[in-house]
Amino acid sequence: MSKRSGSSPVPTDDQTPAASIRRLFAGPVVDRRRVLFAGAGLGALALVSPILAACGGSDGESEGGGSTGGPADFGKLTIRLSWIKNAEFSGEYIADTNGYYTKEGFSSVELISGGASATPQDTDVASGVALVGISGPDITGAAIAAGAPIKIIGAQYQKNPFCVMSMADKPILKPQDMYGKKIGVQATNESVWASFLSAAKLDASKITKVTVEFDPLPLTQGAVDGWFSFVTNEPNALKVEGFDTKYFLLADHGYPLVSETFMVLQSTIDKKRDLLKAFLRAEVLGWTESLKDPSMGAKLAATKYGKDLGLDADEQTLESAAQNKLILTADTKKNGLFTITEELMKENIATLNGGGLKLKESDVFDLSILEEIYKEDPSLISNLPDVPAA
Amino acid sequence: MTALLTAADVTTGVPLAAPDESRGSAMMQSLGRVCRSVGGALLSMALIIIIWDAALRIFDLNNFVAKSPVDVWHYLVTDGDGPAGSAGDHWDLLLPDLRLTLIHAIIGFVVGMSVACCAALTFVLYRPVEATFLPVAVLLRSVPLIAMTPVLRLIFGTGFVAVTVITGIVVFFPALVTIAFGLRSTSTQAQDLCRAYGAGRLTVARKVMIPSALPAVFAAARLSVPGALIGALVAEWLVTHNGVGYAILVAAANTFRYSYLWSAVVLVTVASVVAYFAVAALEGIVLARFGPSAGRR
Repeated sequence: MSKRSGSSPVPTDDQTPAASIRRLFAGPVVDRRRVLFAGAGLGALALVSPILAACGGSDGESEGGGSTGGPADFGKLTIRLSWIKNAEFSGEYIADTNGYYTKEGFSSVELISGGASATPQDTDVASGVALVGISGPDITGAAIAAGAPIKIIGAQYQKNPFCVMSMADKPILKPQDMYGKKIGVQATNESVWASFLSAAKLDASKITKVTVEFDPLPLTQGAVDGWFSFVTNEPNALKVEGFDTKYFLLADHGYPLVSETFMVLQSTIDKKRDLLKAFLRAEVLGWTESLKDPSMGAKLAATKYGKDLGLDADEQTLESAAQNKLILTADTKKNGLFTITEELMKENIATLNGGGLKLKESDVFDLSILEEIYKEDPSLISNLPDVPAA
Repeated sequence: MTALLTAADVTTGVPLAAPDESRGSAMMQSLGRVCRSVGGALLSMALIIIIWDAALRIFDLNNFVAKSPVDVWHYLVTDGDGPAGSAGDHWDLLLPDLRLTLIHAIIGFVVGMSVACCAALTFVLYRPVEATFLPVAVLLRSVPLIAMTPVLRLIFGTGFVAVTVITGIVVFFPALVTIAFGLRSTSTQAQDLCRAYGAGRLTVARKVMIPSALPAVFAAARLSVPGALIGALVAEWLVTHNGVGYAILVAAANTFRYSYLWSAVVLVTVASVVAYFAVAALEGIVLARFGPSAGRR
């Protein structure tokens, strides 16, 4: 399930209740296929089951070393995105379009869209539907606490992009300003909201939480005073529509989590290290391009990957530029994209603990793969553009 | 059986208890029917558990998402104090949601069934009303409820009324069609007989149509039990944001409480099966009054 607000000013198909229902019954691709196979073979189930197992497995766990190529043949790469296909995944679009994934040895790439009513991305990875998923430490932490054998291997955003947005004439500039106000929170974001309140030691009884959908219309109409969203999305969407908004970042008020983190199964880390290294290299290359030109991924989102979503290329460019500030910092310029400094790591774990998740660093993160690729190829770091002046 | 038939059969079209049959045997009749209902309920629950477990095994579903009957048993009964909480804690989470959902479902069920009974009777008594409104009812029925929900939400708000309307709609249409059919298949000779004795339209309805439509009413009620629960869950999910309907959405969304989700679904299913057979038992008691073969054609 996705975790934040919509990206486009127009409510997209993904956000309608009808789409929700469709999703609910459609389910993940693999499941449907399994059912089909099973349905066809019910009569001879005993004969078919080994084949079934093979079919089911091929999506989630691409086997290395197939018969078609040399040593670097990792099969199909499936990436489960954390949201609909907007500019948020610019780096992935560029890496796919420019063939970075295939150059690293993947035969093909499938980007699986998230959205308001999709299965949580961590579930898709834990159950083998996708090889890699993009999520956040709070969500992944909750999944790990619930028994999912997954870990985070890198973080795109150095800063948590969640914010509370308000109209400029009735601004909410710090968490305490929310007391006595109505804040719109989406059902799928409730877990993040709750752990933020708990980590930032806010009194939930003084804030009226209103369950909302993803279109921020109620905020502009005054039905609520604040809106829980990604700082890269709604503020820009409303800006394009001519609304002035203010916001405060959760990251600046007791919730300093990294975000848009890559998570994979522990078994993938153990058995397919080379595959993950290849994947991360392609990601670094793709995102380096996106950092250099925020409009590139935005255009791909609007015209290719998310062309059915009614995205506006200019608004997407604003989003892409906004997210670049979260990705390229003094630390990542020095240590490489997706890395997490010691200090930031400690803050993350403290935040998760404050939010009620009793987890250690080694339960959640494994950044050794990332370290290896930078050690093997320092040009991945030196090719990064400069950090823009604040 | 024919030996037991009395004049009452002619008026209702349903064989009535023979006058010489003792009250005790009628009691036995109802008891037998109730026992059969309880047995049926237990059997169907056993069947559900077997199919559930078999499906998990056959499709080799991932245990993180797909919980087995044993997992649910642990969650609800045997879990001790641990990081995931005890079974008692789990019930504390489940019960308030379940209570609310059942209240929603029951109110929707009662309202939907009552309106359906009144509408069916009006349809049968006044044919022009039926000709006018049945097509509209069918039309409304063919629009998926999910698609209508946003509109209903605008009209009825996000409170109790909206849940009642949505749940009521789910119950109403199938019940209407079934009951109207039951009322209409009343024996025409019986109606003619009543009219020959000077009965008006309403008397015919009271003496002949309603008693002979009782099996249809109960059939409609049985079918509507799961419908009412589904209606309540959908309304909670899309409109009121509370109860089990919303809790399972949040449990599946980023909190990964799949055990809660499965347990809630199990409890709703149990409630549905129990209510179904409670209606069936009530049906047995009521119809036993009309003789051993009442309601079975």
